[in-house]
Amino acid sequence: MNLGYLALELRRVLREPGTLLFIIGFPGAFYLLEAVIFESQWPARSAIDPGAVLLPAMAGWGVLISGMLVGARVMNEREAGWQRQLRLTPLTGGGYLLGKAAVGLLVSIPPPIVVALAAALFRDVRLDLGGWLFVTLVITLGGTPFAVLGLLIGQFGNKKNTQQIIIIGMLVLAIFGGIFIPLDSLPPWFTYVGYATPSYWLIDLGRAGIEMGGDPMRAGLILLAWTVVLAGAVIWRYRHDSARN
Amino acid sequence: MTGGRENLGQVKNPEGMDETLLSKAERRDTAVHVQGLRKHYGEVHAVKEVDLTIKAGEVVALLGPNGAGKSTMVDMIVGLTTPDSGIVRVFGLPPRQAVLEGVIGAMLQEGALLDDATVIEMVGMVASLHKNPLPVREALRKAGIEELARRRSTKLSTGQKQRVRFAVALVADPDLLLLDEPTAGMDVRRRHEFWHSMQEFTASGRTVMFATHYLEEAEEFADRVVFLRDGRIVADGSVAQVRSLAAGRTLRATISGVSEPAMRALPSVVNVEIRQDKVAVLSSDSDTTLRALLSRFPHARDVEVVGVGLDEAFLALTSRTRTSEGELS
Ligand SMILES: Nc1ncnc2c1ncn2[C@@H]1O[C@H](COP(=O)(O)OP(=O)(O)OP(=O)(O)O)[C@@H](O)[C@H]1O
Ligand SMILES: [Mg+2]
Repeated sequence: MNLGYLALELRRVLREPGTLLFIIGFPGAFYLLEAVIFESQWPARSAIDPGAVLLPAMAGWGVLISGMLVGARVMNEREAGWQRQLRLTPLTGGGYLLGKAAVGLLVSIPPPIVVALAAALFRDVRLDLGGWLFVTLVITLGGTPFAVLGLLIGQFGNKKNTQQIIIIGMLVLAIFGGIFIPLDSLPPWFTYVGYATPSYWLIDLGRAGIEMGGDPMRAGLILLAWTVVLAGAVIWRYRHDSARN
Repeated sequence: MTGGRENLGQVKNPEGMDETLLSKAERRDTAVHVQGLRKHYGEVHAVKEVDLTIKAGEVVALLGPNGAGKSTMVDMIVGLTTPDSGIVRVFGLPPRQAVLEGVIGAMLQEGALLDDATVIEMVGMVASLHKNPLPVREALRKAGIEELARRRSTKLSTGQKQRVRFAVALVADPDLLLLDEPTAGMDVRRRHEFWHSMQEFTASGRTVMFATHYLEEAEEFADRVVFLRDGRIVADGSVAQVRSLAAGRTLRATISGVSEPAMRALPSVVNVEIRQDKVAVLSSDSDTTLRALLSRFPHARDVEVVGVGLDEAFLALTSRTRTSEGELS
């Protein structure tokens, strides 16, 4: 991996005024807000604490938006012709992907940590060490396909449509991943569609941390498969997208 | 060999065209080798059947009006655009491989700077991607932008941006530099400064090809001038030849029953244009041409001889009317 390239990419992302807001402010605030809303509707005798149930969902949401928004930024440099300039360097499609995805991943580290802190400090959520790891670092790693997906959208989109595609994409992924509304409170077909989305498996992976998810190995493998397919598309596009626009 | 070429000099070498026949030494000596290159966009044939060989160390100006296909040529040589057909070799390598080896540096026609990075960050990033880059400071110095190092690219003037892009191209320490209208948007003084930094680069024996609209740039800074029009090379010669072309004269006359081959057969004729009975002949030695013309066509009327500037010579070569097209292709 090329450190000079990675360092500048990371600096550029952090320089953007909105970045800190959505990697630190957004997910924590969302978590606390949702917790308040859900608590009022929660069956009093339920064994599960809403603060804990929302933890993987909101941590996943933070990872998902950070990865996708950071990835989609490549649209700007493509439109400016910078990507054509990069194509005149020995940077390969794989190197390009690694650099960009690494930045997306690094930026996705803080959101679940902020959510976890909010859960522990304000909602008295208690997990064992493995549980905390799942809802923070593991869920960040599981977010790789979203960083790559954002990248892919930025590689195909233009100034006019990228914003819309990203927003619609994030909402669709959130709904079928059960991020805002738990899927078991919706008609079963939501769950069936959910199986086909990476967001469902991201939350499933996180829920392993609160002992509510499925087999984390299975979720991890499905997310890996998503990553491989999307990464292949990104590399292909980088190699072929050199036309003037 | 294509018909459209006015071979002013540069005898083409039909042998050694196939890269497999090129020896190692030839590869080192041939910076760019282009053969049978074609590219079309829908109905538009941007480049049609171009053959071009540039020797290492040459400084070549690619001259042509808007839409002539200059940028398309440059893009194909650096490997950003895939030709429909034809061969491109840069120091014996296919473009992508030449880029990987750090052989090519290019300044493309369009923008290509990051809005959210400083000059030194951009040049530094590109340097970090190359195998054997120049020190970043040195690239900035060579491009004459040391004092702009910490400036964001949004806060640069057009001319300054151009020089940042020049630094980005230079930092690879390439053997071949391709510049697509590098001085567009610069005032005269900036243009001079730019070419001054350029000369430092070419003095080290490196190869440069630049696309331009400015004749005086081609004349002043190139060893060789290639005229492109409608996707074809219509003339290719040394600067001295272009100068003599500029020193040429246009002869006009009305001659009934005139034919183009007959006119072209006259001595020192560079170009012929015929509209009905009216002939315009571009000559590198008007006295000789005029004598021959009068002896061969004693009935010629309205004879006049006018001087042509480089501009007119350029126009004659690059924007010839369709009447002579048939003869050309
Ligand atoms: N991506 C593209 N899609 C469609 N047509 C194109 C594209 N790129 C170039 N062309 C067309 O190909 C022709 C040659 O264009 P090119 O940009 O190579 O000319 P040029 O000599 O560089 O002109 P200029 O001096 O204006 O830069 C033009 O007619 C142009 O409209
Ligand atoms: Mg051009």
